[in-house]
Amino acid sequence: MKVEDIVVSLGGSLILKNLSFKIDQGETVGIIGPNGSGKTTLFNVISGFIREISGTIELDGERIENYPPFIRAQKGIGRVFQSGGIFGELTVLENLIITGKKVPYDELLKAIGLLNKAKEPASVLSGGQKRLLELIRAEIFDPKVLLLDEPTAGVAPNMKQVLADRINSLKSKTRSLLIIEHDIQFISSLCDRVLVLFQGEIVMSGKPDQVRKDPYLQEIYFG
Amino acid sequence: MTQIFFNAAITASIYILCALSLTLVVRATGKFSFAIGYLVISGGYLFLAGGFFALLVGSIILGAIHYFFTLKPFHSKLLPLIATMAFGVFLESIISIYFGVDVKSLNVFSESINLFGGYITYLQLVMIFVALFISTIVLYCFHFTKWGLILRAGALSQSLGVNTEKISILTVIIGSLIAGIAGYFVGVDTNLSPTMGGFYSLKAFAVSVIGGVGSLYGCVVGGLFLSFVEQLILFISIGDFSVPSSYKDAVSFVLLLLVLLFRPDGLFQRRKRLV
Amino acid sequence: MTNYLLHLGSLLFIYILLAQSLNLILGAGKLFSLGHVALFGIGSYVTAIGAVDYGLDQWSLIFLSGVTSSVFASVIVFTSGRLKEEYFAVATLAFHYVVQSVFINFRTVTRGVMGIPGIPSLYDTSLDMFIFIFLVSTAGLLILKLVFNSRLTLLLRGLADSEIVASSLKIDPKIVRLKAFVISGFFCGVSGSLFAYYLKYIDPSSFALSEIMLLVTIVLIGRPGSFFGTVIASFFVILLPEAIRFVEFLQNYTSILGSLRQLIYSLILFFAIYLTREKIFGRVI
Repeated sequence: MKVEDIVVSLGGSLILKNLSFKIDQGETVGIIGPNGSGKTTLFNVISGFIREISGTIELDGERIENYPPFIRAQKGIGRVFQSGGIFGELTVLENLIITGKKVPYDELLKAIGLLNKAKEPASVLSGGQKRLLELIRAEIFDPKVLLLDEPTAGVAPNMKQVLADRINSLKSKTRSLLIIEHDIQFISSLCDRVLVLFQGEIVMSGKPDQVRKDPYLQEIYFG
Repeated sequence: MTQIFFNAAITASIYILCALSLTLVVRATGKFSFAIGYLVISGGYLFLAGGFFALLVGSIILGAIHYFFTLKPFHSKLLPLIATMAFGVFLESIISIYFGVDVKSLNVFSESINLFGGYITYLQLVMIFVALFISTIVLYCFHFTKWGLILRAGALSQSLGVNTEKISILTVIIGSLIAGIAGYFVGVDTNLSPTMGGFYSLKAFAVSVIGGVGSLYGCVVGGLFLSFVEQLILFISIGDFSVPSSYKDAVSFVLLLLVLLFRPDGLFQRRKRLV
Repeated sequence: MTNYLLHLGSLLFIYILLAQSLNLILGAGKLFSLGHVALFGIGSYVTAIGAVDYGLDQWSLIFLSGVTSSVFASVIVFTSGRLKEEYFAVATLAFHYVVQSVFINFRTVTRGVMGIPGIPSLYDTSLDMFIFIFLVSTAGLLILKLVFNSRLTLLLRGLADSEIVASSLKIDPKIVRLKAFVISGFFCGVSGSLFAYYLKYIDPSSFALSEIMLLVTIVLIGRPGSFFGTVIASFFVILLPEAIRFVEFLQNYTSILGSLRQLIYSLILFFAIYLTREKIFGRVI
């Protein structure tokens, strides 16, 4: 997937400034940066929820920046939301069935220990459980590019490893992952490459270890 | 031609007052109310029952009920719409029971005069003046008084220690009074029947949406625009086809739909959306 | 007495079907369409005109009424579907008034305020009529039950919960809403048709705005989105005011029964909405 020269301005201020990057098939790329640097906005642009932009987005050679969100989803862009993309009003099982794919839902639910809650409304789950549910749904959905927006946000520390394992199992040669995170260790263990976003621009990019040790990073985060 | 102008001005007076009432409620509470038209009709019937005194006192009481029961408890923008509609129909039923379902008229005889080629009665002139007067006062107060300042600042002024609830109550009651006065005009100019409430409620919306929801100026501009369009429609004939007069109101509702679809910020809005 | 019960039963089953079709849109889909009475009216008028002016048979007309209402329902969705909830509600109200205006003013076809009398009686006894209504209504309800269990309703509910998340799962909001409205509209038309055949006379006053309150109340009380909840609520809401006829001291007031009924409904609706105000919009503001 290629993102080129994206400029987004909202309410008079520039949120994303001529942002460009590329992600190859099978790659896992992390995006870090302080709050307000435009990370979620970037995801909203790629998913299609923000359309007033200039610049182009290409997926497998096809230009998608003019498509509405559900078409982009059909083309293979999946998303795990920061605020929890689970339908609280639907049951746990229904949250999976809604993908419309024929898979053994029971087994998948058993794998994450939620089989006993299958018929309950998803709103009863804990933050970490909801995230897990979202991840399995993503797996069923089988996207080409999966955008994960702060998967560990609001999740208990002991769950993080479980999440990391799940995300690892989502990786494949035909699937690219783009992960926004604050937890640098989490990102390092999962990503091939890391991009640092600051004030709407990519200011650094490289292997996780390299980036982690760069003093400029400290500066960005802690001023 | 002057007659069209006069007719339009007369209906505009009523429409503008309805829209002002709605807009005040929207600005004060951030919620939509479908009760406005029913408050208008109630005003007319209150006058029938006990003259201006009853109209004023009754409208104030209804305004308070309007605020406390149907606006305050509901926090989305949609629920108050249903609750206020229930309130409105409640009023309609009470009116039906007490006054009967047949059409009534506040027959106030007034001499008709010929002005610039069109006919208009003194009372209608008074109506127009009163509507203008009320609009001007409201607009003036909105911009130049403390009340208006708080209303314009919105809910955030709470963090500065302002008792926004008091202002909201006051504003809703003022809205109710304006609606009641409009009711008197409706009774005088056309006639009154209990089932007219929803009609005027929707008219208030039509004017507000056309003029820009939440804009007080929009009420005046929208009201005038709508009235003129309604009057003009009656005179249009393309070949053999002319619009039967009975459809004139449907026209404004179709216009409402069109504006909602294509120019949801109103036909005349230049600044960004207020609500 | 039996005639009275049959009368109640007939009306009841007509309204259950109507309420259930609103349940799909409002209860499951959380789309506040207040125009369903207009769709109901359209169905009634199609049947009335078709029977009186063109002598068509009942089965064609029931179907035709359903289709016509479906078409108008899709008009609602095409035009207003993308509006924000409160504006959508206002738009459906405008739709209602425009349709009612046509009923009242299009005199050559709808006979205006006088209404259309003389719709041919289908059956000789009230019992037969009731059975007819019962069968058609139940058939409709069965189909709706299937729809409620179908994937469409699942998509509709997901969409109602969060349009953003639903979009990210390939769900096209426009198509889902359109399908839901078309189905809902069809059954509005069918119930309208039954209504016309039952009363044998229709006029615009049966389709006033306040009727929508009755329907909304039923949907809200019976746990929105729940099929059986709506059925039970229908029984309760429709039969309750009829109890007035039997209470001794109120019998003097039967002349104002219409307005009294309306008063009671507005109160019930108000309380229904007051008590469920947190639950309807689980996501606050």
